[in-house]
Amino acid sequence: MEQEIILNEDEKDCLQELMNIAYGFATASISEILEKFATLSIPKINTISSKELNTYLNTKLRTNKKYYICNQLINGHLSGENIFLIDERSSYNLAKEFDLDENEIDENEIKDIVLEITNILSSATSGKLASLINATVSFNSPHITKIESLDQFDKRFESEYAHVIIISTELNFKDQHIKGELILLTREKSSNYLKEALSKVLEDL
Amino acid sequence: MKYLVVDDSKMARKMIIKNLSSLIEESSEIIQAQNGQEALELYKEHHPSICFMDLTMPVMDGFEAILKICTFDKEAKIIVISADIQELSMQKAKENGALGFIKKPVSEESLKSMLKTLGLI
Repeated sequence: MEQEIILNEDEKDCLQELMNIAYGFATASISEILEKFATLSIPKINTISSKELNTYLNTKLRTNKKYYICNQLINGHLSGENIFLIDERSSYNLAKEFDLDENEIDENEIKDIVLEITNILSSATSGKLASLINATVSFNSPHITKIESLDQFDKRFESEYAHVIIISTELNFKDQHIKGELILLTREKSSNYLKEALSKVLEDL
Repeated sequence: MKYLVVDDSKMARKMIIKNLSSLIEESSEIIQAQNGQEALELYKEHHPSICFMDLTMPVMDGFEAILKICTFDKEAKIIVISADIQELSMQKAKENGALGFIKKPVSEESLKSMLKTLGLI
């Protein structure tokens, strides 16, 4: 049976700090595009087994809301997948930030904007994290789906990611009511690579 | 001389201390705080020469801590070391009283350059 990868307290702290740097870099990129100030939250590191992924998401997704789920495959040392969760209302508000008139905003426009934001957020975060631990990564094009309940969430995530490190961070533009969450799912070998890289960073201190 | 290093991450504090150690006298004392509230209390107790402050922290963030420390001591020398590299964050930190801003990850070079620019070494 697959088990969750174990990170000790120092390794978790180290990963949290590296993610803080990576996410700060990504948020600054988005903030620059939107010309809006984003409030940074402290990234939360969660190591869970694949079977707990659904339960975790259950706590994140509200039953009465529709969500866009945008996922991007990552290749290389940190192979896995980034998922960006954003509710329908936030997506609409995000589209408005791109100077679109209300009558111009339709589902296709929203999907296009969420895809682009995910692409920047996901690649900037994972790319920066990789550079901080001397890893290399490349990215596939992101895909987007709209779901109305957790039952519609792709079950593939559970089966493909045996060891899951969830690094959750919020994209929060305070006055614009835009709130999203980025989740990084890592494959078993990437989790091990990451754990070794974290140990090395700590050893060098 | 006394230095105050403020960050909620132990690893970040270690990284700052490691890089700072080669730039300061061996006899210097380095005090650590995990959030803005602790920093404010330790600042009042120890009156450090320079304070290195993170921005995104629990309990009390760096923006508020800078403001409160600078209200307490108008001569406070605070350098921000943060991953929040948005222009507005840098501007707000400076408006609150910070003298300089270093982007994470911190290096010996970036610390040295900032301390030299501010005439602190």
